[in-house]
Amino acid sequence: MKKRPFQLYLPRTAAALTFCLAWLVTPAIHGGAPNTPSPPAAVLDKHYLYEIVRHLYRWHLDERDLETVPESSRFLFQIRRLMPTLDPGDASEFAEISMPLLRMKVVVKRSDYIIEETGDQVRSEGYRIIRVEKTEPSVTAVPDAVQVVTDVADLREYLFRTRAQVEFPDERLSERLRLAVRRELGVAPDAPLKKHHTAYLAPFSPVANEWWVFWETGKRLIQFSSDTDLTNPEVWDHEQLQVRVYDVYNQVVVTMDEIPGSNEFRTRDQIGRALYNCIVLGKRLDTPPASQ
Amino acid sequence: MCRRSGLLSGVRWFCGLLTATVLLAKSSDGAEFVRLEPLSTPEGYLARLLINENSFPGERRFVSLEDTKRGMLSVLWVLEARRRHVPPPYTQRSVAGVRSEDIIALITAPNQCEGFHRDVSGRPAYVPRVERRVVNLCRIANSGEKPGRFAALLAYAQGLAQAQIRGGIEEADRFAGLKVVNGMPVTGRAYSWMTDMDVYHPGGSFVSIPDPDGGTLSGNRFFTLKVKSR
Repeated sequence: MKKRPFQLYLPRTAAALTFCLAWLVTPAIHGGAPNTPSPPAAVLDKHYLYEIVRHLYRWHLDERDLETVPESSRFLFQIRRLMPTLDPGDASEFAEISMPLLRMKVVVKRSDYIIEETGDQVRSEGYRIIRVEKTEPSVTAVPDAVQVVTDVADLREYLFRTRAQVEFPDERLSERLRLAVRRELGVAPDAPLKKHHTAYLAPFSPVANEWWVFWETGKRLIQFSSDTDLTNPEVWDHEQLQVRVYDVYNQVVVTMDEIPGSNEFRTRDQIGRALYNCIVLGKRLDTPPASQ
Repeated sequence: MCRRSGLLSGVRWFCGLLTATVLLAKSSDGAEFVRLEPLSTPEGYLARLLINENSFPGERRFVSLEDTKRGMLSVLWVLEARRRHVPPPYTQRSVAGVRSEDIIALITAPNQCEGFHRDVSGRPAYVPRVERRVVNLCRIANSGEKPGRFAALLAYAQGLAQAQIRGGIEEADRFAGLKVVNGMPVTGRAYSWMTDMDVYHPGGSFVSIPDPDGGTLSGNRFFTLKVKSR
């Protein structure tokens, strides 16, 4: 992917000199308290941060979230390392990325530990989104955060240009996915089907270990997720795979105010975004009945 | 939080420890490190809810053994809060979707706990994928040379369920003393939970418990209630 220039947030008196130096050395990152562990370098990378926003653009943001972002503003990322207490031997790393203009923040994780019972290694090659949430409009400064700044216009152009860019698993992985879908639907791997089935497979995200499938025949949205990269075929053996299934007819409301406190429903916005990714951006998979 | 005499607390604590020890000990034929109570029992059903709602190693939102344990305990406290600590002027039905002292009824109340319901005969039940995951987790827990995190978590969930069904929760509700969230008066205690993804808002008078107050555990976000005038 093409790298983009970005603006540094620095005092004016040093701006010119520092700007020159910035292009000669590794770009300086502003902020962070002296004794606070710095965020992982990979999370400060502009390419990576653009992918984070692209993921939000595709899976979480709606028109009303973006129309309030002024054209001339600089887009600020506030990044800090999180230090939860982990189990012995767990070398996973966490970070939080706040985006005040979007009023959103994500928590990312690079997993690195072993499941002692089976000897399986749980590892992601990069930092993957594990949590997305909206923040209060009044929250603009994150303590101990490092700041990375880019142009809103530049970011918007990137999002627009890549809005239909998709990645799909290779054939080897596709077979594992097919079996995983069958397993969740309660169908034996090679059992003949009695009727035609259609499913839509969403593209993979480079920054999230989740994958969505819309099983149109049964009107179900299926979400697969894992702490291991989904591009690792071994994860599809089920041991490290978590599955959630949503009935798009019966588990959808316009607003959670219709059924406060329930964790059984999803909003139409959430389901709509998932369906868009599956049906419009995704791949259609038709499976004819055995008779054909 | 449930209050009881010191002696009774001690007896219950010992019983809980003994039960957990039994669940963790390898059986005489060396077959298992942990076994859950049958689904048909309240203890077994409740344990499966706690297991279903929280992350295990290898799953996307897993952080640590203690984080998952805290998540299980907090889910249990949500049920208990809905059962016995509904703050006026809220009604139990408005918070929990049902009016009942039975914790199983709270779990199986329509449109409340995803995947958990009553079958056509009225028995507590859940969707097949819940059981598949539980079976898989038990299989992993009973693998290897010695009990590990999976066994510890399954045993913990079972221990919590047994404690609740047989008399009460020993550990404190971490959200009981919460009074203010972002300047808004709240009732304290959590009355709902949701997975942390997708910027969920539970609707109504529920208020998200923020990170500084420990509001996210085991991949779940917990919610308290706005204070309402009577």
